[in-house]
Amino acid sequence: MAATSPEQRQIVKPMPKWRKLLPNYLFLVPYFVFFFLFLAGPNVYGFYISLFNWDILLPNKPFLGFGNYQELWADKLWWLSLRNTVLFAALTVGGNVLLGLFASVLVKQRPPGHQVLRFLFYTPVVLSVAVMGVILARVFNTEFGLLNYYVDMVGLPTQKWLGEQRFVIPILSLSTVWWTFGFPFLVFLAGLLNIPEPIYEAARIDGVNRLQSFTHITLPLLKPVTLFIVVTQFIAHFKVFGQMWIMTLGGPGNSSYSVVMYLYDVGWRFFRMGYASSLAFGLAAIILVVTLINFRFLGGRVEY
Amino acid sequence: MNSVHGLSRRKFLLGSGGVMALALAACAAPVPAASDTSQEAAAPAMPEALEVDLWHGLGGADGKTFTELVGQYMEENDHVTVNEELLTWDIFYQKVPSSVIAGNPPDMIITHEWAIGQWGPRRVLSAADDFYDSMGVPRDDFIPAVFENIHYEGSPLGVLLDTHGSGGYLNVSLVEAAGLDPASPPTNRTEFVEQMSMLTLDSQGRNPTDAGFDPEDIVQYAFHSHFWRRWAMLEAMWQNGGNTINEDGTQATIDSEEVTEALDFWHKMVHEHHLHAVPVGYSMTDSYQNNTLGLAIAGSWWRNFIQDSNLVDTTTFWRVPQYGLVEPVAWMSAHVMGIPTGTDEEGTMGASELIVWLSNHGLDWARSGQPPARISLQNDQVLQDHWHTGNFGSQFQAIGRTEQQHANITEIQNAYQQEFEAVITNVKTVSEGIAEAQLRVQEVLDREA
Repeated sequence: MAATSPEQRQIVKPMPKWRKLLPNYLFLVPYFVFFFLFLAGPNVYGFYISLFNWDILLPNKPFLGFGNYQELWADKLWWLSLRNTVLFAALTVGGNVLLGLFASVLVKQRPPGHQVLRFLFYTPVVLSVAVMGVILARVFNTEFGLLNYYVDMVGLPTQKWLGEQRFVIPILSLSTVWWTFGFPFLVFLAGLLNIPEPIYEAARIDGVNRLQSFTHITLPLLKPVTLFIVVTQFIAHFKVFGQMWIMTLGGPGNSSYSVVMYLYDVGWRFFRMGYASSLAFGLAAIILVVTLINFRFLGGRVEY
Repeated sequence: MNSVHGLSRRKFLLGSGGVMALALAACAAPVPAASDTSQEAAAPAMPEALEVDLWHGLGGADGKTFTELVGQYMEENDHVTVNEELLTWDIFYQKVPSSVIAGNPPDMIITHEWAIGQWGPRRVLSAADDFYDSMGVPRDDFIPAVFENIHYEGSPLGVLLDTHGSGGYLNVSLVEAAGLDPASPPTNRTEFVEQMSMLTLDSQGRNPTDAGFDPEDIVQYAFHSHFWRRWAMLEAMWQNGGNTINEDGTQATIDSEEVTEALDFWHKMVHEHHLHAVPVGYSMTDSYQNNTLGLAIAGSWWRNFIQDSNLVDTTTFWRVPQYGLVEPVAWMSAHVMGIPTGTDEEGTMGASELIVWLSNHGLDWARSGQPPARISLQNDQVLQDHWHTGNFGSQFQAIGRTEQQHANITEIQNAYQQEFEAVITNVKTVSEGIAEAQLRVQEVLDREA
C-alpha cells in the first residue's frame, strides 16, 4: 500500500459532525415512533376527548370545555375512590419499603439459607394479580378461610375480613405487600451491596454500634434507592385495580372502590369516555404531585 | 477552520416527524379501486363453506352445554365452522362496542335482554325482523314481557335463546333436620322469616330465636342470594310494589316507601334475623357444597353445578321467597342472539343459520338448566316433569318480571347497587343509602334527558 504524503492527508475533509451523530439519532427513531403513537398521541387525544361528552357509540359528542373537570370536582364518588386509593397506596408503599428493607438487610447478613430466603421473598412477584387475588380471597374468606381457621384455633373470634369497612383496605394492602415486596427487596439489596464496606469498617473503628451504623450510614446512603422505590411504588399502587376487582369488587359498600375501578366503570361499562378521561387526568395530576413531594423529601445528591 | 454542522434538536424533530408521517401514511387503509364498487353491487353468492365468529359470556355452569350444542350444530352442518370466543361478561360488554366502532365485529353475539336498552340507541345490533318475517321464528311463542324488552324503535334486535332468572335451591337434608317440610315452602314474609329462623345455627346448635344465640359464631346460614347486589333487591322492591325508576325513565323512585321498606327488611334479614350472611367475603357456592347453607337463591344456570357436585339427590326447587309484602315476584331475563352492526354478508348468513337452529333446539339448551325461550318448548311435558328446569320455567311464566329498560341501565344499576351494598354491610344506614342512591340514579336520568 502506498504511503500517504502530508499534502494528501491535508485534503481529506473530516466527516461533518451531523453525519457522525446521525446514526445515534436514527437509533432513537423507533422509540420515538412508538412513544408518539402509543403514549404521547393517546395522551393528547385523551385530553382532547376529556373536553367532550364523549359516549363512544353515540354520534353526537357535545363539547363541554372543562365541564367534565367541574363535574369531577363535585363528584363524591371520585373523592371517595381517591381517599381509598391514597390510603391503599400509602399503606402498601410503607409496607413494601419497610418489609423490603428489613428483608434485604437480613439477606445481606448472609444467614444460613439466605439464598433460599432470597428465592422465597421474590417468588410471589411472579404471580399474576388474578392468581394472587383468588388465593388471598380464599385465605380471607369468612366461612372457610385459612385465616379464620387459625384465628378460631387459638380461641379468638373470627372476623369478616373482607366484609368490614375497617379491615378491607388494610387487608388488601397487606395482600399486595406480600405479593409485591420482592421487587423493593431486590433493589434495596442491590443498594446495600453497593455501599462500600470500608465506610462501615471505619465507623466500627470509631466505636459506632450496629444501630448507629444503620441509621447514620446505611439509611442516608440508601436515599437514592429509597427515592426510586417510593416513587415507582406510589405510581404503581395509585393505579390499583386487580386486587379490588377480584377480592371485593370495591366493597363493602364503596370502601375499597379505587380510582381506576371507577375509571373503568365510567369508561367501559357506562361508555362515558370523556368523563373517564378527565378521571385519568385527575389521577395523573395527583400522582405528579405525590411524586414531586417524594422528590422534595427524598431527593438530593448522595456521595460516598 | 472547518465549520461543523451538528444535527440541531429542531432538525431532528422535523426529521422524525417526517418519518412518522410517512409511517402513518403507509398504515392508512388503501383507497378502494373503482372496480370495488361494482363488486359491492353484485348479489352475494352462497359460499360453500361458512365461518361464524361467535362471542358470548356463557362461562358459568351452563357453558359446557352450550359448547356441546355448538359442536352438535357443526356435526349436523358440516359446511359451517363456528369460532366460539368465550369472554367474561365484563370483558364482553366492553369488547363488543369496541369491535363495532372499529368496524370489525364478530358475526354473532349472545347478550342479555336487559342490555338491549343500551345497545339500541348506540346501534350495536342490527334489526332482526327477518328472523320472524321470513325464517320461521314465531313472534307469539315467547313470554310477552321478555320479547317486548328486546325491541328498539319497533324492531326486535335479536332472537331469544332462553328465559333465565333466579330461583331457590333447597338443601333438603338441612331443612328436614330443622324440622321443616321441603314440600311446604313459605307463602309470605312472616312464614319465610319463621321457617328460615329454624335453619340458621350457631356452633352450639342454637337458632336466632333461642336464648344465648351467638351471632358472631354462626356455622350455618338459612339462605343466601347470589344476586344480593342487584336482583334480590329488585325482587324485594317489586314485591312491595316499588321500582328504581318510573315508567318513562325520567324519575328515580328509590326514595319511595316501598323501596325503603324493602331495603330495610334486607338489612334486618342480615343483621337482626341473621338469616343471610354479610355477603362480601362469603362464598355461597362453597357453603352450599359443604352443607352449611339451607337455601341458595341462584340462577337457572346452576343446574350443571348441582349435577357436577352430586347434589341432585339432596336438592329441590323453591320459588323465589316473598321478601316483600304485596305479591310474589321473581326476576327473569333472557339471552339474546343477535348480529352486530357492521357484520359482513357472509357472516350474517352463517350467523342467521346458527341462530335459527339454536332457537329451534331450545330443548337441547335446556340441558343446561335454562328454560327455552319458546313457551311451546317450555311447556313440553318432559321438561315440565324435570325437578329443575320445568319448575323454573313455570315460575317465570307465573311470577317472572324483567328489569326496566334504559339507555344507561348499567350506570343506574351500578349506582343503586353500590349504595344498597353499603347499607347491607353497615357502611351506611338505610336512610343514607336510600338518599344517596336516589340522588345518583336521578343524576344519570337527568344527564340522559
